[in-house]
Amino acid sequence: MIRSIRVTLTLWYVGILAVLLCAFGWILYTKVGVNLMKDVDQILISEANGIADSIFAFWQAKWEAEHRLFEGSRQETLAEHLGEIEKESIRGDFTNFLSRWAHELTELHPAHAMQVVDQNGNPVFATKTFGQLHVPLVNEAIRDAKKGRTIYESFYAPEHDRIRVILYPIIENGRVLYIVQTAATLKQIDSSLERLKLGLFGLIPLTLIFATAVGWFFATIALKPIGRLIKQARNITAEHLHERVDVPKTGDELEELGKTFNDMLARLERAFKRLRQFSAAASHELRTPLTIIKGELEVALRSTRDVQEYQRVLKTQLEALDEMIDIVEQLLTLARSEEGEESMEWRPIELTHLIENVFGDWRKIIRDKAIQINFVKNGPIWIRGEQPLIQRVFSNLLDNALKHTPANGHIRIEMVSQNNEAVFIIEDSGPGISKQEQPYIFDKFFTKRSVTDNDSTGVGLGLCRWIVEAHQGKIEISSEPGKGARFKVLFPLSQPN
Amino acid sequence: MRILIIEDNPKVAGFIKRGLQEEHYAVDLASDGEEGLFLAQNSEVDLIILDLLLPKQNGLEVLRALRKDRINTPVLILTAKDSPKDKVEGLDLGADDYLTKPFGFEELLARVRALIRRKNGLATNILKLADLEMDLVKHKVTRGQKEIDLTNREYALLQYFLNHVGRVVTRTMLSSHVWEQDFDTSSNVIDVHIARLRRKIDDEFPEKLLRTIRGTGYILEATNP
Repeated sequence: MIRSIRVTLTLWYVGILAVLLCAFGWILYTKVGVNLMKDVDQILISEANGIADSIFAFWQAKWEAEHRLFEGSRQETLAEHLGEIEKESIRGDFTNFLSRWAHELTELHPAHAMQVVDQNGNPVFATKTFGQLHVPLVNEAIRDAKKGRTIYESFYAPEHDRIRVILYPIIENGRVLYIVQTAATLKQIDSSLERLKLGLFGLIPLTLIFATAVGWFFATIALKPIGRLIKQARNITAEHLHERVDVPKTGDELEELGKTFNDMLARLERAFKRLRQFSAAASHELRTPLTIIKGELEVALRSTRDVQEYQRVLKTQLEALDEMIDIVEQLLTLARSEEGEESMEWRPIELTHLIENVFGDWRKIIRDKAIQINFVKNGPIWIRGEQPLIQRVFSNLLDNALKHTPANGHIRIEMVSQNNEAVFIIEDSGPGISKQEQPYIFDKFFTKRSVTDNDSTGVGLGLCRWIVEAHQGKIEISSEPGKGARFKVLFPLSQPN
Repeated sequence: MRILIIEDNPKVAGFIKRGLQEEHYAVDLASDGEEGLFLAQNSEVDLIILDLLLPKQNGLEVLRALRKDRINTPVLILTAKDSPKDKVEGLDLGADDYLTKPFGFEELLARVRALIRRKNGLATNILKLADLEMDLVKHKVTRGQKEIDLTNREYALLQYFLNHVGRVVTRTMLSSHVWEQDFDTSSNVIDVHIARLRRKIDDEFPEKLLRTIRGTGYILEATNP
């Protein structure tokens, strides 16, 4: 799991970086190519421009010379004149002039070439280098140039270097006289671009490899606390729920995770502890009735008995079974709320009414033992809690009081609100509990601590205390032997809603 | 043999007592630690069956007090506490055996027999003198080829004599080991039971085993070794 997070993180990181680097490389490559081409074009155009200017100046000079010779007699323009003199012997001078130019040009840029063609596309002059460049003459280009446009063309002939050609028309009075072609090989540009490409092809993978390592390293560092958490968490079993993981003091989600994990452990530990406590108490207290059932039966079966003895044994069995049923019932009450304090469904409960309902369950015993019950109340009293559990508290306490109160005795019950607390008091007129025994009275979960000759069972005072404390309440006992016992239960008051 | 049960649950104590009495044991009951300790200190019992969770004084405190007083009566702890820690603690404090509730009654009886046997320095469950034999498991008493039918009390008396062969047994010893605590020693009940026992084991046989030592008590021994 941790491995794959690290791999995923690194892969994403490197993948995105690779895409970005490739895009960047491609843009750089094209941009550099375009700019280098622009430089070449600029040189070529300025060369063409220069040649065109010189040609123009040459003819201008010729024309002016002619003009002076035939002063005023000839009125034709330079353009008109050009057509004529061209045919004449000046052509030789013109060629000489151009070759001088060409010489200067090739000295400056040996790789550059130049050709001048006339309006029909016939070469008038070409540098030696021009032929070496294998510049094809494209008719459409000539045609376009004759329309007065400057044409840029790139050629790529197989087995030769790429070349760049500019067609620059010389226009006089809207008529194209000559077209200057300047050309250059793109060998240097291409090799520069090639080097750039190679450089990028080398650098990008290197960068990516480095980025992978860095990404992996940081992912590992970032995930290290998680690895530690996992390792510690793995060692925490049901037997070691008191252990906690070390919370990394990072102040980020990891610290949060550690804390959350520890909180969960604490909740689990509480639930486990309670469960263990209950199962221990339950198994312990189920042993007494089981011992009685098993022992009585085994002893009874050792020989033949009379009917009275069998009846006595069966009655004992029944009583022991009743005790077991009582214990199991209390266990079930607990099991239903065992999902933890948090999940207890706390609702408003009205106690006076609840207690009157509990009386109903014990009506028969109250009548049979002719016990007088004195119930003191002062109107509805609301608390919040889980009703079955609260009812269990009153039921257990009333059961306890009824069992210990002799026939024709009396029980006093009080349910009042006092100092923001719901106060429940139950006083029986039984034998009471000695001072030494009072501290242990709540220790047993499901059955009553035996009080000398008293034989009653199933009072569950321990359960009462657990429920009361789970509801942020308190339970107290005060008793003097011979004067009955007095239980006092306090719950925090609440509102009906 | 006299057994003291210290157990707070009257039902549990009740059936153990009944079962043991049917096995010819004299049984006393104590329902809390204080009473149990008092009885153990002030009467000669042969075995104590001790619960651990007791009111007033718990079983381990009773045991500790007994051993401190150098009372070496065998103690069998009978409790619902079944953790190894509890067992170790109980046995280390001087208990001789440990049995957890719920238990099988036959097992309790076997352990009681074993503890009493060990106390009397015996290795088997058969007590023997001349041609008189007592099988402690089957509760069968025979002399020669003849099976002798005894009442509980007679059986307990004979068992006590067979554990003290050749030694003088006083009335006080009998009253404290064969009868329960509330037995009135001033009466002649012991003499009556002894007379009946003697009739059953000696009358038909030439060799008389049980003799009266006038003014002191009785002795059971073989006359022709």
